[in-house]
Amino acid sequence: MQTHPNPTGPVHADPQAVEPVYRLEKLTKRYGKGKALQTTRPANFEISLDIVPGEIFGLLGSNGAGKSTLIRQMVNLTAPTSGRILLMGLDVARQPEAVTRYVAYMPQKPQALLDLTAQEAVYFTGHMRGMSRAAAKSEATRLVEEWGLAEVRNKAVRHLSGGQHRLVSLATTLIGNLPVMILDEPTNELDPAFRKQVWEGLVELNRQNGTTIILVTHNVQEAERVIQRVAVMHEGRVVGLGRVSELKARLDQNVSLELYLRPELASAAESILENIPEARCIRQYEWAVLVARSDGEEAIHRILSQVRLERLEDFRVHTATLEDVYMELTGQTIGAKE
Amino acid sequence: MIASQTAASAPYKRLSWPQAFWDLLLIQLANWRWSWPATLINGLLIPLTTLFFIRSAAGESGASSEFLISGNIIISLIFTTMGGTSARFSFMRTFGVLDYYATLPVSKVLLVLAVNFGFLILTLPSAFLTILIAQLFGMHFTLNLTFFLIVPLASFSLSAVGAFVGVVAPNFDTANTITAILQFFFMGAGPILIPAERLPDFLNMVGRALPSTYAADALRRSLANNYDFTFLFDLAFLIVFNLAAMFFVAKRMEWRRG
Repeated sequence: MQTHPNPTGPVHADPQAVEPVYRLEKLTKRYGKGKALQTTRPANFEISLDIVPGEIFGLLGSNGAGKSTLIRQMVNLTAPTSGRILLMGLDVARQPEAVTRYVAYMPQKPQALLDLTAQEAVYFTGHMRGMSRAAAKSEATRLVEEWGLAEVRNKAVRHLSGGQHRLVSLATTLIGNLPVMILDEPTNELDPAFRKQVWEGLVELNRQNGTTIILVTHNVQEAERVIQRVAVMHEGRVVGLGRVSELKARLDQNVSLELYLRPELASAAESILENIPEARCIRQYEWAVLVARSDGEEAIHRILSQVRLERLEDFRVHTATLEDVYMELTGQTIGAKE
Repeated sequence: MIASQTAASAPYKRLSWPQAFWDLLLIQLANWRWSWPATLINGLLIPLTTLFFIRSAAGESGASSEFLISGNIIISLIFTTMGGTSARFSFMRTFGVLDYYATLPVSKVLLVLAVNFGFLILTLPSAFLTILIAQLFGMHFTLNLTFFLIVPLASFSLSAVGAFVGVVAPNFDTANTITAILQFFFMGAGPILIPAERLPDFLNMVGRALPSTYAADALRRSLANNYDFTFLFDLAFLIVFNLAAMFFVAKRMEWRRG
């Protein structure tokens, strides 16, 4: 397996200190034609950010926040309305071959190569990326086995389960060991054991080869363990950018109280929670309240007394998570549709 | 400078054109491995049925029959592949399959060629069967090397048009409709199924600008073992048109969306 030693190590303290793998300059994307082009909300608006070599970078946002549009522009599948994308210093609009040479992209819903077998799909991708036939064959075999696909290696991808299909897509992304990987929801449809394997595999890849990994995911809780820097997107804009620990530090003076309501008594509890400014509904019967750490014990006691324990199935208190950061920056939960 | 360091360590060299074409062709054929019998039967039935009806309608004229039969072979080799290529590209565009190829170091021209060749391989048996049946009816057609030179030239010229329609059309149905209209136009405008002397002058005039006219004429002359200056002119026209089509595909066929 060819490696890309990372001269600066896998984690970078200061993104400004190294030449970026990706540099996005005032990237704006508007869809539509004529008047609609000017009047509709842009899918991306003046996004500027750098992604440095060897980092695991996360893009967080609800559906419609503009994440997929952004990464489609980064892999040159969608043209920006204005702005510029540099990959390894090359303008991808003028030198699109930069993307095909350096970037492996895994779309959210991979539809290619459905009639090939799992082994063929991985092999052909490796060979078309420039590996020798022998290397592509042995690497495809290794990846198929490593990702638990050995038993279905000769089955058409179209006949695999959703999870197996996603693992094949992941293997096709990994083969060739390109220096940059962009993965759109890589753990969708996977069971917990495989999700864990995917996250561990990506961290290992990043550590060993210095591969720059750009992740789009809704699975914030799991991704939080692997993402080093994150851009929080909301309505087409980047509303938060930094190391996960830095963003969480903004909320560090807070603790989060999560309340799981009994469905039959939820309406009474919700009428109280709706009057607490810091309370937000995460999903049906689940609420979170950010409470100042200094006043934590008293505030938690007061809220629990108001809501009343008999209306709750459960409650938890924890320090800020990436999801809390997201809620603080956007006023929404990560699963919400804008 | 990380950029230059990483550029220097760019993983692999780009595949050569023949290697990339071979991979893309194998992928196309692998795509059809589960469905090739149906495609093949479909490819055989349509020209034979058409042949039967057209021959019945054409009466007893031997020259007309030979014209119709060679026209029928042309339909299966050129227009079937054009329709197939258009449908395939429309499918790939609609379902995001083109995104996969767009992020690989392979050329658009090679992808069009591979899809086109894949369809050609499936339609060649129908052409051979038509020739065989024509021999049984006492008509004389010969297969020689020029036939195998002209077929890809003729087929690719219109498949490039089909691929472009498939990529540009907003959806599968629109691509099918546009392709059907173009096929009707290419078949009707010019002496493909009907001899030039029976066509109105303006259609003959229009036909002179269309590759299908030259493809049909070249194939007909090849099947009849009739090599003259016109044959060479047909060949030259097809070569120039194919080069133009490849240039157009490479420069103008945009497989990005939005």
